[in-house]
Amino acid sequence: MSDKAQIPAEAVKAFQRDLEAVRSEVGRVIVGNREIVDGVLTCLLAGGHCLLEGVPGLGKTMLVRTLGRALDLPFSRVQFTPDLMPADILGTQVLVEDERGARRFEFQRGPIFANLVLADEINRATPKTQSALLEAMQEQSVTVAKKTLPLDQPFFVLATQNPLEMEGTYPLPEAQLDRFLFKLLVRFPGRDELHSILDRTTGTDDADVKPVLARARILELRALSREVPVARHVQDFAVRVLMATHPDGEGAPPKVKQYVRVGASPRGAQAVLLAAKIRALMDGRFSASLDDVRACTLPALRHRVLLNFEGEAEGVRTDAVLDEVLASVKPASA
Amino acid sequence: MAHSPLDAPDALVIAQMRRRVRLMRAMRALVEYAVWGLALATLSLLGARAGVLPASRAKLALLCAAALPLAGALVAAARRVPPLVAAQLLDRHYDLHDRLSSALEFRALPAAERTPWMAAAIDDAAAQVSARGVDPARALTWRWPDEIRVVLGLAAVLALVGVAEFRVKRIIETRRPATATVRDPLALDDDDLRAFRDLSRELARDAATPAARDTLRDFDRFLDDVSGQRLDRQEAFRRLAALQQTLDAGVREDRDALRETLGAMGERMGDRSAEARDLSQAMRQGDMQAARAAMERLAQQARQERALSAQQRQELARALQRAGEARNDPELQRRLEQARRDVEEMLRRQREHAPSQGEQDLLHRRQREAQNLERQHERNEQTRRQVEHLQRELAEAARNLPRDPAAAAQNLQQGAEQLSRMEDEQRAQQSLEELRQRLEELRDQMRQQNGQNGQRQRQRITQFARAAAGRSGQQGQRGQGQQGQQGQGQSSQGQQGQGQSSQGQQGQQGQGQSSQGQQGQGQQAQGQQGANGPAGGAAGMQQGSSGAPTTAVVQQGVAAGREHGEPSPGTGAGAQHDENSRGAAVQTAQANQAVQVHGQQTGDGPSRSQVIRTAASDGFASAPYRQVYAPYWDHAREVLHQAEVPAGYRSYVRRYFQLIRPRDEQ
Repeated sequence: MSDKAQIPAEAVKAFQRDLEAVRSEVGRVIVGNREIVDGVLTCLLAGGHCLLEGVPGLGKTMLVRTLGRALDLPFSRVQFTPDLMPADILGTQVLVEDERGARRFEFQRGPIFANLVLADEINRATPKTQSALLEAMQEQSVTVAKKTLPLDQPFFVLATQNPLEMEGTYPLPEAQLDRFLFKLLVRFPGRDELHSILDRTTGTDDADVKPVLARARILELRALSREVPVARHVQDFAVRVLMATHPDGEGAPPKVKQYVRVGASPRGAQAVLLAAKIRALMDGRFSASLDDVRACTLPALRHRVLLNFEGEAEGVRTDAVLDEVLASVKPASA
Repeated sequence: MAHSPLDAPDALVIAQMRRRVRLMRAMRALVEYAVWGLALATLSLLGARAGVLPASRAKLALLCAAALPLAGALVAAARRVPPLVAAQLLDRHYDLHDRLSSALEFRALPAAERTPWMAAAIDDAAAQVSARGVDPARALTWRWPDEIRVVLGLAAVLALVGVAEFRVKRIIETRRPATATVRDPLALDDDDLRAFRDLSRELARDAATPAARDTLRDFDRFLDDVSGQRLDRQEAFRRLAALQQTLDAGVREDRDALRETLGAMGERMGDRSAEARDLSQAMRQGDMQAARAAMERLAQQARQERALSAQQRQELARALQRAGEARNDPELQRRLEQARRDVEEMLRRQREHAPSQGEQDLLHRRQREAQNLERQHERNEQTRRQVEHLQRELAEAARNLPRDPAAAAQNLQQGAEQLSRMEDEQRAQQSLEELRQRLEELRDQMRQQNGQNGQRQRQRITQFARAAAGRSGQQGQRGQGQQGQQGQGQSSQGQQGQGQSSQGQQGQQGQGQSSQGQQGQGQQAQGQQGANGPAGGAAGMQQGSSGAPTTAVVQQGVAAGREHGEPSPGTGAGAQHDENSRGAAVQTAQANQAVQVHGQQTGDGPSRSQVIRTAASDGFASAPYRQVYAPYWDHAREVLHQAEVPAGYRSYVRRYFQLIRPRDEQ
């Protein structure tokens, strides 16, 4: 390998090593869910946020907490409820009297001021509260009393939502969903995994998770992932997949034309490509591949493709639509 | 390790992969197009074997069928294979996660634009190729396309069609050659055409030379065209003139000269040698057939050593030597040179001063004389060339005979063969000469039958010919015949023929004596009442002499008649005739009944009863018509050649004999 290529090679190895350490630590608590862990890490390294969807009891919160501990990052958890106010998240001005008796307002930081924020059951909060969070997610800063306060980097929001209970929930609007890099579906564990979960959680042993990835290193890895090159035909494939999610887009399969109301935004392509790069790094490669794009398409686009009434009525899942898109779009050959 | 773009392992395998993809495409196209090619070939072959498709088109279709798969394969092989496709195929097969395809793209960038990550990706691709042993052959293995089963099936069908035997009822349409429409075609009576065809066949038997055969073929073609009415008058005469021109050029006038030359050789040979006597006589008589036979006998004698004594050999050699001497005619040469000198002298003088009328006439006469001498000299030269070979062989035989009889025999044999060739040529010349003469007659007939009243004349000829052949009579002329006289007398006193009285009384027969006591013999035309006889067309041919006893074989009813009826000529016969003289209808196609009459030189003709008695005692002679006709016609030709018969009348005589000639069916 040439000298020029020596640095990336070592960087990739270090990347893989660090990631493996995190996985290992998380794996001490979380059984299975390797894809979820990798997805969350991908979002973290890509600078995005992650929305986890799954029924209660699947260990979503546990996963996030464990990840927070392994990453050695300040962690805060917010349980979203309908009466949760934006100030409850962002923080508020409180009147403070000093030793000399002088009173003044002082900003009391909310849970948003952490590197790792768990927004549990985000769809239970009102849109007003949701929007307060989402502004922070997008802008990486908080404005309170005409004062903008930047959030500490890395800032990573992990939100969960329950797909079963619709009563008293406020589904996230499309624009806000778009803020999430990935939407990961937490599957129900298999029999073996269940046995492992029971073994670990019903005994006396309590797994001790050590921090293995410091904040600075996370930022380095973020920068590293941006350097991964993407060949033109791979990028073209991502673009054409994105175009195919639009009913009137080029190469749209019949299911898209029939059930999709709005296709994925360009932010979706960015998410796919960034995630593909990180996936390549995780795999020890120096460039993203078509398979990376394919693998990242569903988590990156499933919450960005909006079904029309017919699709909703017939219970069509966006994953099925995206599967058809991936099946129909062929990589460019020249 | 850095690689140049071309020798890097990943670039090499990509290049190999591209070639392999081309090859696979070509083979696949070959198989796919072979389906269509074989289908086309099968249909074409089937069509050709069934007779539906012409052979030329079937061949073309088979060529196309063969070319189709090849063309398809070539086109497929010529199609460009993008390197990215090859790289992606390898990536997919070896699960390289687009390492090769990405490296390919990165490598295409300028070096300055490549990031370290790109360089690392390129190196990683090369390393993966080496580490995994990427082989295009394994990445793209050959698999027979599904169409191969169809190809095999069609090939079997094609082979079956190729070897199977087809029995097809084929209707071959023959197209008649297009003939140009002739507005006013020249017409000639069919009987005349048949006569000339017979002549052509007859002459062809003696036409021993290719030139003569060619000329006769031209003549046959001419007759065919006239028969098919494909020639108008102008074209017909032009063709005839061309034929005559050919004959004039081909027919030599040296026949007599050749006979004279051979005769001279025979004279020189003399009769001193008993062995050469036959040869000498045959040469003197101009009988080339006999001369050839004599020469062959001499050759045979020469081969037998004991057949000839030494003295005989000497005598024979001297005779042959004399015959083989080439002689020129010095007198002719002298006269020719003198005439040339005179003409030149006269021309010179005329150039010096204006000639008088007398001088000009003299010059013209002298020039004609010189031309005649030139022609004669030329004929002599031709003759000399003809006999030159013969003379050479004879002279050679004379030299060889004393010491090498076998060689002499060989020379004599060759001389005999030369004589045979000369004989053939002579016969051909005679045929052509005969044809040339007959062409003149043909020209006259064409003129007559295609001039004014030509149609009517042709009808008359047809009627006459039918009547002469004993076919249906012309009833309509019968009435005229009652008043007419037939035949013609041969002397002023001889009332021959057998006039029929106007009252239809008995015709006077040849045997009857006239009131002047002159004999007459003859036959007269038979007349029959009714429609079943050749009354109208029959004529009496008569033979009569003033009491001269003649023996004549007269064909009853064969004679044609010249119609000299006065005042109204007729061709019919009276209603009543002597029963004894009434013959059967002319049936020239059968053995005919003939009467042989013996005359007596008593001056008195036999009485009727005597004739009948004689006939009864001696019987009637009979001879086929063809045998009767031939001597008459030969005699007539001889007379025409020798006697002073006006040219116009000659044609009548010839025409008469032509019309009564025996037909093929006779």
